[in-house]
Amino acid sequence: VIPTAFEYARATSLRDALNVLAKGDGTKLIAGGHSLLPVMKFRLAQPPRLLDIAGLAELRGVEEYRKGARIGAATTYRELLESDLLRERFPIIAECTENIGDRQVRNRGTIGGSLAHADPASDMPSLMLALDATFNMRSKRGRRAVKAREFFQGPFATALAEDELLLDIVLPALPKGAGTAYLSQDQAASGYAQAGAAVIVARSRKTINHAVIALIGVGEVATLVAAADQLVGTKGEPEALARVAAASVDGIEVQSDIHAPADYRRHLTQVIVRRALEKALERAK
Amino acid sequence: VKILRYIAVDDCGPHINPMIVEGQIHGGVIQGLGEALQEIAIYDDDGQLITGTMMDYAVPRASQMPHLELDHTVTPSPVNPLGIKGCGEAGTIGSAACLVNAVCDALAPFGIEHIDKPLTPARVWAALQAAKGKENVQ
Repeated sequence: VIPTAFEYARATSLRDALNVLAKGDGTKLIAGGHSLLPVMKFRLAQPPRLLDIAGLAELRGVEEYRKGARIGAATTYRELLESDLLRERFPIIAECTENIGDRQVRNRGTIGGSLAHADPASDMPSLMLALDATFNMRSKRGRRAVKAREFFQGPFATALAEDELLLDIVLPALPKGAGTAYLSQDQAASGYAQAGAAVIVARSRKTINHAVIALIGVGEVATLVAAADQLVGTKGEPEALARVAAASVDGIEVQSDIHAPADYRRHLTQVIVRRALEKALERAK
Repeated sequence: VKILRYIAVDDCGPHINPMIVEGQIHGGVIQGLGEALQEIAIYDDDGQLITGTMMDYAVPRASQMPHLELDHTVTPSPVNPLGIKGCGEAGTIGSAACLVNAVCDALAPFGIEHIDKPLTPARVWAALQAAKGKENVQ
């Protein structure tokens, strides 16, 4: 419940933050603290120093970027929900974010914090995979960009180096008329997903020409479902959805815990994928 | 498990403060429903409690619980001058058993007669799978 002692400082600028990170003295970045503080309170993480980047204006906000959007890493869930641009272009973000934590958590927690923490049961990574997000990262050594599918490397492991900071997330425009849906079942105590699916589908006339499914809470890392490709060329008939839903867990080492044993979680995932597909298709124009 | 409607009729004798009585019944019913649906203390082989924090032990929250419809009969107790009776745990006594029975009743067509509480989705699913397995054997 009580974390080990740590020093705390506020970054005065992005450059200041990068300088501190470059020292490699074990400093952890903190923004909303809603991923980091709980693990510190459980003493699963014991960073000697925290550097608060929540106040850096250049890391906050949502803006139009090409035909998509750019989201600053320290943008809070509440700011995501309040963005008309995101609601219009990426309604799946609001659909998912509405159910993250409670109001207090959404007021403080940030998208970048959740992504950099990379909890395999948190919702955001699956959205980023489904939306084909690009993560822009920066260190004193320079800038680089990584695709979401390369960013998440394992449970609580990402492509971020020790001295790197996540600047922003760029989302490319969705295919025209795409329907999206996010669905998850959460464990009653923690609120973390036992299985969740982010789905994006688009049709040309009646035929599906784009289908992406990303899962969280199922395997040990958020992952794209290969079987989604099998929907392309179909008309989204119930049999096609059922087939893809059944195959959605293929190749995934389904996790097991005291609340959701693997066989149950496998079944749950298949149901959630089918329902999310149905919902997304209904919404596709 | 989705609770479609929950009606509780209690008799606590005359209500001196009806708001408090209603609050007590609410709290009691929810305590029982939490026990029936999601609260569980799990120990590992070494006797270590592994549902030891609020991340694992699912205390019921307002958003997870149904609306309650309450009504009362008023039968004064003959054994005290005010005619009052306890109401604090009145809701709890009935609600856990009532919910588990309701779920077993709903699952009776599948040949299910008993599921250990709490009726988490995983347990209800497992009971349905086991029932299906039996059918296959026949």
